[in-house]
Amino acid sequence: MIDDEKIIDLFFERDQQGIRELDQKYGKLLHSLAFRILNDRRDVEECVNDAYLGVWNTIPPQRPQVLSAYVCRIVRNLALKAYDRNTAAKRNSAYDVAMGELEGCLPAPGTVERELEARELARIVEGFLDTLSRENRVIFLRRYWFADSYKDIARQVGLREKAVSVRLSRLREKLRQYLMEQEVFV
Amino acid sequence: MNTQKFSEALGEIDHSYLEEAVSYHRTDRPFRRTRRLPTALTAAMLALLLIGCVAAAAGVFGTRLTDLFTSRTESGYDLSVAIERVPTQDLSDELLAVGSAIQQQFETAQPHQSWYPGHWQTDFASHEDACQFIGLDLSTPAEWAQEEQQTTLNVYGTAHGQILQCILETDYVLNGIRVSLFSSIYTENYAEEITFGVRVAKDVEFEESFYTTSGNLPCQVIASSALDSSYLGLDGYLVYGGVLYNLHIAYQDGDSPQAEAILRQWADSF
Repeated sequence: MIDDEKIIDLFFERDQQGIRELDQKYGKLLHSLAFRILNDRRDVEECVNDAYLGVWNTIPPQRPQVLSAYVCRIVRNLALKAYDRNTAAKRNSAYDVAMGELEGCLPAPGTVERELEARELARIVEGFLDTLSRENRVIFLRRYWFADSYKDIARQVGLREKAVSVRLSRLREKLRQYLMEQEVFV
Repeated sequence: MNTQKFSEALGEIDHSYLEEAVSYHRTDRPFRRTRRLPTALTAAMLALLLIGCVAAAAGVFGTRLTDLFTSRTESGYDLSVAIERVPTQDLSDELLAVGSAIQQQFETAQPHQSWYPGHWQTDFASHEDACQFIGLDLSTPAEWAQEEQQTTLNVYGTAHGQILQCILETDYVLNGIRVSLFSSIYTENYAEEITFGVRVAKDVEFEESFYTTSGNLPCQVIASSALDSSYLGLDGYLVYGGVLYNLHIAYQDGDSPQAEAILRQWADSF
């Protein structure tokens, strides 16, 4: 597989081989990410294809520093938009399960606290991620950004599924405490 | 805070975090072709864990390997566990009260929720505190107390509030090696045959051996070849006093002697 830089160069040259190379290198990752949110093969295909079109339309002028993160973010955004359009009956994806876990640890808004914008909150989340070890940071993001299963995370980091479950439980509690300390209510 | 907003915020985090999460597997934990255990390790294991096979086979209580498989998609093994069930009257009132909490879970659970009733979990400051809560003295080497990292109790129960099973996990870091001790008890309410299944990544191979402890107890040992993460695994299984103990050691290739020493120290502490 060719380097990310070369794939980006193909986009800059308006060579459609860039899309094929992108699909070959990251297609599996992108499809699985979209599937965990949408839980529907047809929606996933549409979402990933739209993401490729999005990449085609934005590179150039943009030259992403990290292609994988760039394209994952596009897929996630598109998948979440499609997810919102879907009926409640279809909401049984891995993403639902992962987000459901977070429900209990996110402080509820009171009456006087101001609500934070997503970007502002993102900086606070980054602050939380910076307090974690690298392994815990990966475990947290693989679960709540990528909606990976415990099993997949366990394989990635070399822990048991049970240990991943316990670790995530502790990370959620740490997140809850961190958000409370930061007086974050959204 | 609603999860949608949190999800939106997650979508805005810096790309460096995503890069780390995507590449962690590829750069830091590269795929490694699974191989058989190094000859030196196998020989050492055999030398270390030679005796006890007969004791394990003949013992009333203990573990027995019933299935072991290595495939391209998943590897693992199953143990059949012969163990006495713990009478609920031996458990503390605090633990029995968890049964009511689990019963309430079943009563309030809705089908669309992302969690399932029947499981209750809590953390303790120490293994000793957890034992006091459970009402049983679960064995662990005394000299490891200073190295405790985390202690978590998982309790499983029925819709009628009966406690079925408790698993206490205590994690240690001993000389840089990560060690998890799982102490499982099955109550008299647990009517089914007990099996203990371990599932790990593809292409992992296992090797079974036995060790007789200094207290003459049979300890079953399963060594696993390297995961994709390059970590090897060494698991000891021992049934004692109505408790199934499983010591899991994750270690890197060069740490084999230390891992074996940890296993031996643990097994001989009974």
